[in-house]
Amino acid sequence: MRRPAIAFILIFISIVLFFILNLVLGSISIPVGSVWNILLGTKKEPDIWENIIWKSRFPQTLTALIAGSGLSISGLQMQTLFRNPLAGPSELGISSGASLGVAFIILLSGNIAGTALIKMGLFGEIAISVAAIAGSMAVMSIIITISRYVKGNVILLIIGVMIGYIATAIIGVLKFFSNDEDVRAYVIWGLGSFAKVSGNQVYTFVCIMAILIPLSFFLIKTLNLMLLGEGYARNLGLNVGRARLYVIICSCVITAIITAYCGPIVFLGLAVPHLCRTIFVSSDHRILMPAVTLTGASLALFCNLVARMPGFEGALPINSVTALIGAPIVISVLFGKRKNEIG
Amino acid sequence: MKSAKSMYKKEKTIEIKDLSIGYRSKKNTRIVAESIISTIYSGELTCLLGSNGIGKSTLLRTLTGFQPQLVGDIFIYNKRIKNYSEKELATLVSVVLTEKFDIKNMTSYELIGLGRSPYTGFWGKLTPDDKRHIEEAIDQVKIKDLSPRMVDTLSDGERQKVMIAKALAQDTPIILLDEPTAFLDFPSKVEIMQLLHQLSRKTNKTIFLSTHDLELALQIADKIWLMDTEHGIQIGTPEDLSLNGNLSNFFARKGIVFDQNTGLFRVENDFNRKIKVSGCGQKYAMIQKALLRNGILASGDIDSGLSIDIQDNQIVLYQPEQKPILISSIEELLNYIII
Repeated sequence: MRRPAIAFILIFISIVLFFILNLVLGSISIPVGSVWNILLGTKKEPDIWENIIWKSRFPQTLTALIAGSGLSISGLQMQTLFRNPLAGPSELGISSGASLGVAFIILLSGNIAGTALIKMGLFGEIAISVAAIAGSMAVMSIIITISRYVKGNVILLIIGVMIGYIATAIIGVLKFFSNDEDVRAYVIWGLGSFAKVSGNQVYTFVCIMAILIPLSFFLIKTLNLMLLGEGYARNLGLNVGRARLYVIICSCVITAIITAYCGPIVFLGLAVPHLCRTIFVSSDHRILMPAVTLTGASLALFCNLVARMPGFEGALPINSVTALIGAPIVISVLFGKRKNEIG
Repeated sequence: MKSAKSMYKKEKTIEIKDLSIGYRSKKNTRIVAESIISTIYSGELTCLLGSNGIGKSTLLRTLTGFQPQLVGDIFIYNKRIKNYSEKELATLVSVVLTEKFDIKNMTSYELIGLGRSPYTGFWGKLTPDDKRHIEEAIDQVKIKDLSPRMVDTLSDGERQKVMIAKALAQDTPIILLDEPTAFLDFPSKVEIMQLLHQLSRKTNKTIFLSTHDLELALQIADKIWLMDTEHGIQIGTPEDLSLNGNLSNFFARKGIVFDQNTGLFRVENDFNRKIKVSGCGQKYAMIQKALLRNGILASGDIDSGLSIDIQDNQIVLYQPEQKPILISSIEELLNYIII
């Protein structure tokens, strides 16, 4: 069998395996058989187990799966768009932009409306999503504008990092003027977690992403042409301006919504595309897009599992885990290159 | 070639009417070249020559439709270039650019396959017909061995051939190339130019390229476009341009001589010494060349104290009041003469 086919099967198996382990393992272990019964509702299991599965582990696992896919797709799109191996949702300041948007909403809501927005239910949720999208789009449009005038990829990346610092600084100022409850809510959001999406929120999140992820697959041919650079892409009939815009919007909206629900999650979007290029030995987005979708899901589930390992008791922030796993992947990929292209 | 020629008719593909090219910004307009009138024909290799910064790339970009023309019109098959959609243009004009890309994990075959993009469907899947075109392009450029290679492992010359194959796979009647021979070693330059010349003949495509390799262009091109600030663009066969003196004017610089007899350029060396050299054939020409490089003019009818006699199998150096010396290489000869 061909290499990609084998890889796809293995990754799919790993997703199923990690998914089950995510449901089974935790501070309280629930036997696989009981998990099965609870999910299908075939046999009555202890209430506490049902509660753990339905209220906590299942939404969390589903969130990790979807967020991992989405961030990886977004990362792949940005790496192709900027033709830069170091581009990624958090690296180019997109996540910072989303954070800034969310900070404005969460931190200022107390001052303006008198109540913490985080308690306001669906309205608060929508407000946070919209703010995250607006923030990330603002940063992305700045990056795109600058990328027209700046040739070097490194400079662009530095600008992304600088925008991140500026966003953090503004958030710091906002925190100073906010009431304690809001600051606490923001700090917890900012740690990043797949666990915060609870109850019905998770289904809204899943529904939105279930539309966005398939939509991003429509850009496969566009992305393949973008690999060749603007001149060749245009000569092959691509409307480069429009294509750029579509890719930006797609990857921004995906990142923004995930960030709104899970907080800024680092390194997944950067590492997974690299991992896939190495595993599948391909630059063809017809292979890479499904590959990052599945690999991203698998890796996110694995990270979530590590973060919840017995002993840590869920105390390990997800961002520590994604960084600890993602950074070595990126480093090894960059070292393994025949020609270094970062410059 | 005769049969190939009779198969096809030479026809106008690109017509340029009173074209001005350059850049227009909000504040000012920078005209690079103006009042260009010309026609480019199918089945011909046209080379655009001009010094750096004269606007060769701008002209090419304008012909590709990447850049709006300032004044005038470009017609492709009697229709204004502006009136073609991007998709239509993609099936008429293909390009080979100087911009380098850095793609990992893509085979040459896949890259050439991307040339089929204007014809493929929504997902870019290659049909058997697309694959036939790709195979044909690979055959024409003779790069069967390169097709499974990853593009980032190719040398500059190999990469250029793959890009030409991409342009062929795109199946357009017109191919524009921006300095396809830059950065290549000399044999690769010759190979690429000959390949393009043959392609123009075999496929009846219109091939237009910019280059700095004027020696090669003068030998291989069917038409030459000379571009400079003084005269604008002058067009003709290399031979016509050399007969009417345009070429020598164009490259009128110190140290370059345009040899009217060969129609080629050579480097002009001043001489300050003359030596009698007798003989003929290739050895004679080579010794003459080596001496001239060192500021010595070789001549048959000079009375110098020193003289060189070239025979079929030996070179003899005669010096006054010394025994004749047998010379085995030109380097040895130079060591004796130049003190």
